[in-house]
Amino acid sequence: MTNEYIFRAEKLNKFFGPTHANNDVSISIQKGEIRGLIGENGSGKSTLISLISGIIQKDSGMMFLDGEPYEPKTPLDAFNHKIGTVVQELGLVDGLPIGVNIFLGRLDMFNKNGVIDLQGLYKAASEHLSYWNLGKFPVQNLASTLSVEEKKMVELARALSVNPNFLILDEITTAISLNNRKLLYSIIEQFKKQGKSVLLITHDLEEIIKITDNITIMRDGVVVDTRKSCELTPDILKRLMVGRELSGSYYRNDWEDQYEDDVVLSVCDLTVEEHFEDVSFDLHKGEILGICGLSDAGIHELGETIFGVIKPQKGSIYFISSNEKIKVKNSIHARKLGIGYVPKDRDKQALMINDSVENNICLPSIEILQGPFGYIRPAKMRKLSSKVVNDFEIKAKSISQYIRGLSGGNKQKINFARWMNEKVRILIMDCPTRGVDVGVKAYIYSVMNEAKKQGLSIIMISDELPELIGMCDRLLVMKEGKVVKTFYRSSGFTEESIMEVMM
Amino acid sequence: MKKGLWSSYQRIFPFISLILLIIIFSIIVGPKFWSVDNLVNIINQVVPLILGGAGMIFVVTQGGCDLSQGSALALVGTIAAMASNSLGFIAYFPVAIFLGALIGAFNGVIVSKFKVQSLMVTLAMMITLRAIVVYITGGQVIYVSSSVLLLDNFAIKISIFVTTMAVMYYLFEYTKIGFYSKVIGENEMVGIYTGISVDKYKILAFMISGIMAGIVGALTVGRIGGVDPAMGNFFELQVLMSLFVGGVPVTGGAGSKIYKLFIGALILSVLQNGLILSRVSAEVSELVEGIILIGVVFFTLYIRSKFIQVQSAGEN
Repeated sequence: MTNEYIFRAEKLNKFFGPTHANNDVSISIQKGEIRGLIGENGSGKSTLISLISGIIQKDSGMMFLDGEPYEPKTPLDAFNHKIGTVVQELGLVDGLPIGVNIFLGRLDMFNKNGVIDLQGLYKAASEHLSYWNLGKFPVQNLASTLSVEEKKMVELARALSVNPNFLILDEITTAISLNNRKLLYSIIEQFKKQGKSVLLITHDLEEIIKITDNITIMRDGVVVDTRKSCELTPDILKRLMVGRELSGSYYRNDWEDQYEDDVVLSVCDLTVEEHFEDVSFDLHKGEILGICGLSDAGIHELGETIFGVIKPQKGSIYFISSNEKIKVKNSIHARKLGIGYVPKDRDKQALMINDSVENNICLPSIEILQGPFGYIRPAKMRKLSSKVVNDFEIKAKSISQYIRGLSGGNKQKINFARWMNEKVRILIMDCPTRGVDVGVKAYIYSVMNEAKKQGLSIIMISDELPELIGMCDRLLVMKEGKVVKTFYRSSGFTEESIMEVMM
Repeated sequence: MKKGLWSSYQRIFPFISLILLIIIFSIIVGPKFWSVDNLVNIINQVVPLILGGAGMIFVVTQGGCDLSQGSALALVGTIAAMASNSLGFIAYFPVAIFLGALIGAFNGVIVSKFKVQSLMVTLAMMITLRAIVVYITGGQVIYVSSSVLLLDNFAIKISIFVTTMAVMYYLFEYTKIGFYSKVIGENEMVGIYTGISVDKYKILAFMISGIMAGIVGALTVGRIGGVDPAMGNFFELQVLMSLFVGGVPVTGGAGSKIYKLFIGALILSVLQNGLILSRVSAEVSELVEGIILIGVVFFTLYIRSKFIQVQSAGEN
């Protein structure tokens, strides 16, 4: 007799100290089903995924795979049971070649008289990548040479290499751009056709409704509901996740491009080889300028170059205040002039994870806090960080708590909020809502909107079109390193028309 | 509760080690351990370690190390002594400080601008500077003018020590130099992406380390009463040991504190002094020293990893 469920969990429980991370969680996934899993940060999704993929062990409850009891002790156990996982906890090993990373833990299959047959492995890895159309990677190179997005694609390749019947994808789409998302969707489609199942976690509500069959909603460690995707709208989902009505739309509700005529930043003929060329634009006071493009369009590098982290081969960036035109020399100069930068990768580029909330908040403002003889009064630092924690409703036990222990949303709030000091005139934000839940998203948008009205100019770089459409006054679309079109809020922009220019 | 305990262990463990050592040696050695002569001995040993460590701590906090301190100390001491012999005592300290800063700047520029590991740069520097010292002195002891010898006065030495340490404490704990050094040690990328001149603060850290080596060099020449080409041998390792034993994280970052340097230097000096007074043979004493130090460093690291877990959970 064939079992109609590929995976079943019954009354799973997991505690972390006093936190009941998974409370009697039961979930059943059919063969050929694409299931979405959604919930706010800290709702227990990642814990459930970690239990299934063997990263942590359950405290009580039962799991069944294809009708058989299933008790994974390690991630390798999960692989051997044909469960492919792309989860946040299992990254790549930077110091090993890409090919080895793909078959990590299963190198025995390339064992040739006790030696690993690297040539065979690399060949298999390349074939595997091209079979799934995942792009060309130099499989001999170390994983450390890859970008965040490329790493995710290699992790996906690793998950697919176990020939899984059940694929688990944890927030993979937030890290990848639109063209790779299309690819991912087609892979998911293929799984469905073969009667295999996928469990997908994402914070992107439109996306999850579009590509899944059913969606399971978690809140505070409990499964709240499972609904058919076709009957859901983003608003219903939001309400189910948060457990209460979110007031109105979380984007801007006006459709005019509203900003002053004063130019605050002027970018002229900016060129960085291999990334973008001859980019020119003006940023106005109180404007939110969006920049979007596919993965090779150079949008993230453009942001880094404007802040001065990357040195351009050609062109200049001018900061303009009260008719004075100042050429921005580097990131140190940029910060001193009043330009802030919110990086995409908050754990690696923005925050000191083994340091306190206080030090992380004060970091960009240290020179403002200085008194005579460079004296930084500890009381001033405490005051500033307490204020930021209160103003931005950051959930931390105290300002001395280490960043490592905060949820993604609260980390992002710190990454963003610490630049909102009186000196900053221009803020460059790279994927400002990456991997945060709807509550924090709505909060960040409302703060952006408020700051814009106060005269802050924002460059918003993002892979997510809905938020750009929802927030920007103007939108620059980049393709292969060039600005191909500018959209204006007043003339209206739709996802379709932007996609057409981008692809 | 259990969680609160880890947090306090992290703070008090080095203190407990120090107190235990003192108690053990008070029993084994007896009253001789507390005699004025011996206390002065310990202070004489601790002072250069703390001064050198106060410079080194900036570099270590940034995640690097400065192995050239011992050789820099010898070269600076030699040249400053020669300068005071020809130009008068007035040139002694300015030359020492300037030359120390110069050596440090050289280290710093290579480390930051050419992106070479500080371990390699300063190791090469250590060998090069020592060779220059031997070349200049011809391997002989050089005698110095009587005014330099006055530096061996306890009061003068202590006042130089207190003033210098007050400045260093201020720089490290209360200015952006210290703050940014901790940022660089935690995660250099974060420094770059928040618009901090990482290169500048690296160079500055090595300059401070060089200057402190210069000051220790000047005091050492005064203590010996001349220039000995072998002076400062292994000094940098003793300094690094003091920092690590005191609980400064080997990887640098936010856990670095000046008080940890004090504790570490005291532990090291009391241990060495106590072992000598206990009349343990040289080989055995080094073995015991090594084992105890490994133990202390192991427990310090273990406790720190627990501490990070606890701080992340937000318990105090």
